[in-house]
Amino acid sequence: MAKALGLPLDVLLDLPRLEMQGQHVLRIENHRGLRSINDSRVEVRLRGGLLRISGHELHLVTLTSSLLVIAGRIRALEFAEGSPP
Amino acid sequence: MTALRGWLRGFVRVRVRGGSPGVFLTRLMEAGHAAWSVRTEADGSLTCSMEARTFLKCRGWARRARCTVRVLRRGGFPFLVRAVLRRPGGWAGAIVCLCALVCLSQVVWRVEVIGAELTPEAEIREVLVELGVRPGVLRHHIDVPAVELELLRRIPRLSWVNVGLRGTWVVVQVAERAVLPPESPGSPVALVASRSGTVTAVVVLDGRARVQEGDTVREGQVLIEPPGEGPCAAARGAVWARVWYQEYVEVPKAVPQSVLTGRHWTRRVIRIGRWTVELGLPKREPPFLSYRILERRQPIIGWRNASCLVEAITYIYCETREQINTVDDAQEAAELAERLAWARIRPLPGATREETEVRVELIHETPDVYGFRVVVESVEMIARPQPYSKKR
Repeated sequence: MAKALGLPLDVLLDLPRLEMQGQHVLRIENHRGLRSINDSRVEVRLRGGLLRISGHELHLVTLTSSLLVIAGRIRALEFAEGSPP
Repeated sequence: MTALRGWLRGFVRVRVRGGSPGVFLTRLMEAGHAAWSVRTEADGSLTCSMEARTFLKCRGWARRARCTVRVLRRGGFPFLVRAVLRRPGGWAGAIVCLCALVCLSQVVWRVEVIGAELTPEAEIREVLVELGVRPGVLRHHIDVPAVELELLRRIPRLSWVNVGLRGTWVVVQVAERAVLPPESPGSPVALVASRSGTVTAVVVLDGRARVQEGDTVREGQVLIEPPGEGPCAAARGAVWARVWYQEYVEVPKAVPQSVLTGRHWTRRVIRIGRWTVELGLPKREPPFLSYRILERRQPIIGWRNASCLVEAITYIYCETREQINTVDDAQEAAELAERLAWARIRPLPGATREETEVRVELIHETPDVYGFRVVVESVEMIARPQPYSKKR
């Protein structure tokens, strides 16, 4: 349906939108909040799942209900079980 | 943007200890609030910034996440204002500074005259002072339209004046007439020939033409009569004529010329007001006997129309040597003569001069010089205004 209407999936299925700038900044729109945070790992709740961001010196630049910006040296992103594809 | 909004509304930097800081931040976020610069510390606590109004509501979220929240510092505009208001000396000083700035910015600090080439700048400045435009007067005391009109009235050579108030500067831009208006206003004005020649075109806007295309006119001859006898009657129009200029030009066969050798020596100084400080010691003289100096000025600090007292100046001494250029060919000398003749003719008073024909004739030649007669034929506007009387 999304293909037929030419609409982006995140709008139609309420999916999170992730945008990375190199390995230094990660912007996440449409998130569901934080589960845990420390300087080497940040766990972000998403619709139907969890996103694990691991790296060094991780910190949150901005946290609002619509946007989460994580900065630092990001090493890996991992979608935990039940997360959208 | 979040941080800027927080600064404007006032923010607090807090430390969140124990429990689950992630849950605390999620509760805060779900309630529609924002946090920024969230960092985890070595002791496992978390520091973040939030708006002051958010902090006042966060007690319940902290309890549910089993955290303690403690303020580390406060910042932003409201706290800054409060801090200033607590120090009477501080805000009194700020108000005095602001008042001084406002008052001093209402005063004219400099008067600049641009565009005066034929009229002495001192004459314009003298009139401006009489009209109350001088450093030290209040800006709003200057009646700009009146000053512009009065300048035009008092200095007849000016054809256009613009007085602009740019900050604390008054910039007076002027444009000057190529041809002065008649000195005796009140009498009829005719257009007369400024040079002798053969008329090629006549355009009458006001008045009666006394010449037509093909006529030969002498300098001073009336071209267009005024439309009547009244004191305000003035002829208006344009007359073009073919005119001739004759020049005798001598071109020496050997011309000494100073040419650059390519070697140069640099000296740098810093100018502070009236003093100059040499950079690079000891001070030396350029190692050349003959040289040409190029000067480059670089203001160290400059902003808008603020004049800079400190500037770096670089003097480049370019070595030169004398060289004798010989002109052996008469044709080459003729071209040179033509250029020299034009250099003399071009600055003569007269408008829209365009070259039509140039004749260069070798009159005599000696071992040292060529002598040429250069005749230039051009078409130009020859009408100029002049007081008119019927006796003419």
